[in-house]
Amino acid sequence: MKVDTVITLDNDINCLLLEKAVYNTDNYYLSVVLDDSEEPSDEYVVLKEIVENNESYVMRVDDEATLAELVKLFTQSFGEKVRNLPDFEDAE
Amino acid sequence: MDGKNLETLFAERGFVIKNPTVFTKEADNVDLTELVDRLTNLEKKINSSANIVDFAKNILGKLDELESIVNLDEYARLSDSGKIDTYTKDIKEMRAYFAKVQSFIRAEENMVFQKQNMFDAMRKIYDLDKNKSLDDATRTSETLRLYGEKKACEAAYNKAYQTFIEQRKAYNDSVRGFSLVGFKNELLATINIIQIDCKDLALSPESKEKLQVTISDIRNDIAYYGLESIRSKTEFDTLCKRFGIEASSNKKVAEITSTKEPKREELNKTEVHPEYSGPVKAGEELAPVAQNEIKSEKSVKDRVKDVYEKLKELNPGVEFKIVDEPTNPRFDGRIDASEFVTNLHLPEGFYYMNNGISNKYSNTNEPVIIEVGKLERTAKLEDTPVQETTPKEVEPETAKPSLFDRAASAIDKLRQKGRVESGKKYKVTKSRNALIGSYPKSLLTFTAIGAVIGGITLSPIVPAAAIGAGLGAVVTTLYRKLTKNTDAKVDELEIPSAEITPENAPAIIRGFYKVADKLMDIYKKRKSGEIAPKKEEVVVDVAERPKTSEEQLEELSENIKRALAEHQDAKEDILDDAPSMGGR
Repeated sequence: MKVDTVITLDNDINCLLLEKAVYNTDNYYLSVVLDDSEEPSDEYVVLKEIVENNESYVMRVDDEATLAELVKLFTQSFGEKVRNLPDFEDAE
Repeated sequence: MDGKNLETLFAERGFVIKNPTVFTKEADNVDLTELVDRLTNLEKKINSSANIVDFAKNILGKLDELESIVNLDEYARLSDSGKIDTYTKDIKEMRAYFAKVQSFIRAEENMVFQKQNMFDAMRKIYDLDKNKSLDDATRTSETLRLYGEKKACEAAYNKAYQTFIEQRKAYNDSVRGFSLVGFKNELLATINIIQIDCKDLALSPESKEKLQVTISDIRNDIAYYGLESIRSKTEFDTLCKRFGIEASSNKKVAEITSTKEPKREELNKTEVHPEYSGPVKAGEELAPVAQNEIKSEKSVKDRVKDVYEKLKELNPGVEFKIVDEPTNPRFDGRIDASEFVTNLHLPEGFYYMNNGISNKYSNTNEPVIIEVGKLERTAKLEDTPVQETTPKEVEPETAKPSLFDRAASAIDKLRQKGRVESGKKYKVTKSRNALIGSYPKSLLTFTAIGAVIGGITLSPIVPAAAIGAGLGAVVTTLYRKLTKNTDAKVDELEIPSAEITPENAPAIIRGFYKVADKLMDIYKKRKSGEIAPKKEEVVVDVAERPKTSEEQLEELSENIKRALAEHQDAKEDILDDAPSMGGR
């Protein structure tokens, strides 16, 4: 799994992975759930990646202490990307 | 009504005057008969047995549902047996809270059943009278059989009625001195334990969802149960205090019965057992209720105002304003504050709840649930009198929920019935690259981080200050890049870097939620060309003015000469480095 990809879960829900963080050797992704027309909905989730038998699974993170740590990491990584953003005209 | 009749009325209803001076002073302004009626009705509401019976039936039914969901789930057998036992035990424990009322309900049901049997036997006897086709021997035999049946039914009914009376007494005894708040807290604690138990069970997603919905319903039923009783008690106490009246000591609040004969408009419990203090008649209460509504509303408003005053005292640096109407009717009132609700110092007994504060589960006689909204800080804190609140100013705030509220509700939704459910492992079946620009992605990421912070900062245990400050710096950078070379501006984000500190973080977070939509709007307008970049002015610098053709030729000539000289030097160096080749 990697950032900037859309993953489809076994309940047919699509999630766009926005940011990745590694915390306690596990991979976590900040994601937005996409609606039926593939547009971002107002549902945001933090997903933990679980790899078993070469297959990827995800589980939603709810623990507030973990979320607080992850938000710090996401913010750090997001900040780095924003600092390197090209000018609007060049980017679009 | 003369003094003698009033005395009778007071005695009948079980009230005594404890403070003659206070009573004499206040009695001139009211109709005393109405006052006694009002107090009687309030007492009925405080300990309405019909209310607890309905409530118990409802909760017990839902507990049965909780059990059957697990029993019928095919995955449940994969669960650890110990965990299933714990779940069953906790449901049993919750049922135990209703043991007395459950026995009461069963006794009542049995009595109704036996009475119906008795009526059936009598009807058969009447039918026998009408049946002229029977011969004498058959009629005699059938009559004797039905007579025996009727006697047996009567005996069963009498026994059932006696049991019902005993159970009702036991129930009435159990609710004497009963603390509604304590009872509700215990129920809430138990249902929370049951919810935790559910998480440990192996169940199909459908069953898990059903469990969550049922548990959520139970929690709501408990939370809203008895609020009218609490309000009635508050009003009852206030009236008693105001008029110097008390309920006489030999009168048990739980056993209040109307001295008037109840109307039998409905085929309900009242008809089955006349002694039972059934639902209060509609006609009897109509006028007093209307009066009560006005008084209660005023009383609630006063409570909100009291809380407002206390909040001002406890939070001197924060600006507050009372708003006429809450956005949601479940709140008793609304106070807007210039600080986020979880940063406020609350009056004793109050606690934070989603979008508001309350003391309803505290040991208080004045329960109130107050919505706390956002208030933009004005220049002068002192110049914010309560009465200056105008509907026009409030409308934009109340009409549209803030982004923070939306984020919080999104988090709540995800926690309860979200499409990506908590505690469930999903297999990733497909993965594909997303086509998304760097700016929209950044805006989306910002909103996502904001939503997560919104969710976790609802809990006071997570210090979000540093996170907020970090995000503050990032979004300011994003904003500057997005609006570079344009006139677009978002006032809330015009924050000097020095002010983005952990101390200011809560305010920063609040500000950013508010402007997320504005940033997205700017992006869309830039994308569509509605916001165009400013044309840069060409500043003609003397040092960099365009060169004349002579100057250009001269420069070119100089460059050629320099290049030739460099070429010559290089050539000589090569020759120096290769002696054997030249034969020198």
